[in-house]
Amino acid sequence: MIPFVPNPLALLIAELSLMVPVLLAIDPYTPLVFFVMGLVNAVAVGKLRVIQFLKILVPLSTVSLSLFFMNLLFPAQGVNGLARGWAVFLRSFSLISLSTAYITMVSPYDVIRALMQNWRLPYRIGYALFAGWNTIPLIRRDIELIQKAQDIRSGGQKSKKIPLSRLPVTLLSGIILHGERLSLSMAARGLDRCKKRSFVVLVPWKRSDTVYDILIILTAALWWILLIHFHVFTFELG
Amino acid sequence: MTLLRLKDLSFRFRGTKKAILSNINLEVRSGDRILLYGDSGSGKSTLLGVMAALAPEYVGGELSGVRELFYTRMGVVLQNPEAQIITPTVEEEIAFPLENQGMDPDLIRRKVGFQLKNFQLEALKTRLPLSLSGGECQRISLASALVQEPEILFLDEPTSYLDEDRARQFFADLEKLPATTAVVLVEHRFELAAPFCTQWFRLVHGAVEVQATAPSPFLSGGPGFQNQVGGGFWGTTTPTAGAEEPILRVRGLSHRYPEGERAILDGVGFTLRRGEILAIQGSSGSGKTTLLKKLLGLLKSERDTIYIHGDDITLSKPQRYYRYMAYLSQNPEHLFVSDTVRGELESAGPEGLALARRFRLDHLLDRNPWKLSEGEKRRLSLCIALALDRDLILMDEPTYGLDQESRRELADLLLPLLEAQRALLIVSHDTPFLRTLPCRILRLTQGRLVDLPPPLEAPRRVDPVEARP
Repeated sequence: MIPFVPNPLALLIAELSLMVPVLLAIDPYTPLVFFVMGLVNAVAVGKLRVIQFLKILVPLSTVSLSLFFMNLLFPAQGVNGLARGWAVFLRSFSLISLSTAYITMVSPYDVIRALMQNWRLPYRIGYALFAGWNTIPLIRRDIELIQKAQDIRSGGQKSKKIPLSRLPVTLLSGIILHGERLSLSMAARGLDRCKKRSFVVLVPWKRSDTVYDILIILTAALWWILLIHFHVFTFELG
Repeated sequence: MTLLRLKDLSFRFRGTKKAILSNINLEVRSGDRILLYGDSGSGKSTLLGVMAALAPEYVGGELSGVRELFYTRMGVVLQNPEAQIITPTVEEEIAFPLENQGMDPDLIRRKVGFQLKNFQLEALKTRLPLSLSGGECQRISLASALVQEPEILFLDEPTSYLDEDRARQFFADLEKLPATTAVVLVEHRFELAAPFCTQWFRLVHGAVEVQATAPSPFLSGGPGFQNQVGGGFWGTTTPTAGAEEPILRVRGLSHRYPEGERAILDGVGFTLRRGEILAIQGSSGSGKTTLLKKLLGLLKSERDTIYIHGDDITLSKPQRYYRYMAYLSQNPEHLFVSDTVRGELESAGPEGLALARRFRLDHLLDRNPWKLSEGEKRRLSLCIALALDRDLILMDEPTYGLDQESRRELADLLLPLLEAQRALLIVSHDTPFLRTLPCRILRLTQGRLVDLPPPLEAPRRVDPVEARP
């Protein structure tokens, strides 16, 4: 039996359908339910890489902790700070976990390919996104070199003559130049002229993706209805 | 068969009054191998862009005269390998133009497979192109151009960013082209391009001059720096080798990346004194950049390996040794901190403005440094380095992106630095350029520094291979 590998967009829909109830809830149970569902989905379907997931999740969780302590130490008038802080913590932690799980389950290149192939993202934008993603390590390298060149120029002193805005200006100018060259390279190879292009690396939307999304949405809806029915779900936007 | 014809063609960029190309008459036929050369800013790349229907179509500008394009399939390879890579795999990068034509994916895979085999890139098929060397990226770009089975190939300084060996490999790859494919090449490495081309056109102030013979290679041409070596050059400087503590002393310097099988630097050592130039040469991935990063403090070094003015810099704070050092990165813009050339020179040091005339920058003082030509930017960065009044000047690939004339000019401009008793460490892949300098050239090979062997022979011609799957 061929293992089910979902289309990145199917996975996105699934994750979003789990995130919506969490986004609207302020009780402590709804986030927990959907967090567990998301985790099961990520491990069973998305083949979650746990170490990478934790590496991103742990530092981001400090945001949730900050929200907890903010509500605990500075509660609004007439509000139980501990209960409120716990609920806010669980909501933000669940949202961060679900989005982190998605990031670690898919390749950004596959998401862009799928957007072009399945959701008709204009090719020009899709390949600009490819090029942009490729440029990130080059930007990191350039930042290091610019900082070093300017540190050495100032003799290692924090000179007043070199304004703080100089690094972004230098960096941005380089990025614009790089972008112009990439754009010309795409044009030279006929990207601007193509109306319907083919792909050697396909990210197809299969019937199983539709079934998978329907199942996830139905399960999420069922749990949401149950939580509402038993007055566990408490609505609050934002 | 005529592939393109230009009649009395002129071209000007938007917002400029002066035409960069004027009254060009040119015809390219099947099988032509044309070298376009000329000074920086003479319009070579613009002419190439006009012929490849990229200018004014994608860069703007105003075209007058007649441009007749008869070809239906063309390939383009540009200068900077990094700025041509779009997709995340080698296979997709080569397939990119065919995908844009909407070709059947199975047919694309067959054609791409042929090019992968032709360029011996099969093992790299699924690799991220940007994780490969510049030479490999440029071969991928060439394969991507050839996969379209072009009638005409436009190459804009394709070897500018490649080391000697990879540039030779690139020209060896070009030799595999079918005899009917026309090539229009802008290239400043005449020593490599001249044997490949059969027609030579020189651009002078936007006009084409047909040349009867190939241009002279860098090593033997021009009234440049090289001619001064035997005469005035050493006479005007007094290297103090052996007389005092070296400005830079490196000994037993090693480095191994966690993912590397072997040490990229393995006990490297050298000394550099006042009035000396030391050039470190080596192919991509040989460790040149690692060595430079060690000297700049971007990578940690072990104790007792790098000394500047007798101080072990691995034990010092950067503030202590940066005041002896100037660093010119591959990209001269990295050094710029002001909005005018005047501001750059004034902030560099009290002598900055006085040096402007010597570096022919005095008429550009109120210009934005970002808007200078590549050659002018390089002159400005050298002028800043001299005005900073530092003993040790580190230069990283100073000839990247420079044309023949600018490289000669750069060689000339190093003279004032040596006259001022500076010590220069140049990291470069540009062997012909380095050979014009009065310097010791060391080559980094397998982590060790060895003296550079004598010049290599010209590229060997190989039998053309039919480039159709």
